[in-house]
Amino acid sequence: MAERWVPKQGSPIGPKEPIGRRLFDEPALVGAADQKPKETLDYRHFEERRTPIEVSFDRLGERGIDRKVLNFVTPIARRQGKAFRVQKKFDGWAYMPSEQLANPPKGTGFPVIPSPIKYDEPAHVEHNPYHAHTTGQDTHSVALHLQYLFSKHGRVRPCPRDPSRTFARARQFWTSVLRRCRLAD
Amino acid sequence: MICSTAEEALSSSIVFEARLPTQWGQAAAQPNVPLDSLTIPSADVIGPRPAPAAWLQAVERRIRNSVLPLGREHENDGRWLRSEIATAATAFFEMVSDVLPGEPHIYSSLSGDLIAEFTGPRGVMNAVISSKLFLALAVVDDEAPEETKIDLAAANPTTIRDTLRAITERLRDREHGREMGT
Repeated sequence: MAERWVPKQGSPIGPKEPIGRRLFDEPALVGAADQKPKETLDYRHFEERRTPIEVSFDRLGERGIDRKVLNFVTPIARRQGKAFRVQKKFDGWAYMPSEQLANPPKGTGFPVIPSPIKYDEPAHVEHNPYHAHTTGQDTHSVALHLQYLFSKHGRVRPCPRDPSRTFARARQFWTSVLRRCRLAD
Repeated sequence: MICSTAEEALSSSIVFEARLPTQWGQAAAQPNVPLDSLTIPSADVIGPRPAPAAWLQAVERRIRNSVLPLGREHENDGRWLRSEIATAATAFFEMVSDVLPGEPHIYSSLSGDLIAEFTGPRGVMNAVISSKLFLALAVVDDEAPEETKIDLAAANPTTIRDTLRAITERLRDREHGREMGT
């Protein structure tokens, strides 16, 4: 069985690498429940409030989406969702090739820099060798341009199923079956 | 009023607000008063003001119903709008609804500003509206995206309307004429 791809220390990001931005479930305005639901990517998915502006990404494979990489990064993303002030459900990634993100056919490009998170970094609890980021000057401008680029050239990869929830559901099912059997006796 | 062109018909939807002098009421009561003698002092005329877009009331209601209640600031996870943003956004839409490409889809940004997303027949415009700034990214006919930044505190309404009109008219379908307030 092939090992999980891990980017080499100091190596640049390959042109075909899918660069993913984590998507979290964002709420609608309480007074706007009558609005039609939106099917496009949300501005908030690309909004970063840190200064200087650094927008984080995950490198999702060497030449295309790598399931083993997804399985590694998914629990980290789920834990990030739970760490928000109000918990958010992790829905997956919007992703696009790094080459197109850096040099899109039209519009502003965003070169991606590898920035693996090591075990010993005090600001980051999670080790993530797939972490990368891009920088910008203005939060709103960066978010609007990234929203456009990912909507135009990107795709969405839903997150893999949560194995713990799958197990919980299976246990619930078999418990109910057993209970029914006992009742029938 | 019979309009010879579609453009004229559209411009006839402009609303004139005027406080009519009492002479007009007298004229109605006394048909002998010559109409030429009836004038409206210019100071009494407010406008002309373009008719607001048909969607304006719905958007204003959504904003109004989303204002964060006092004392619940800590609960705001993006479901509410701060009152200063709600006020700024309402004033903005009232000023320019007729020159915008259509009804916006609105939500709050993570930092509390209002995001308004517009779709026109020829493209999209996504905008951030804060208490002082309007920033939009418009993409027309798959061309390169254009960023527009307006300092709401410094610019006058005419400049804001003209700047927006320049973008949004291109988002509308020219083949079918201007679609005011749709």
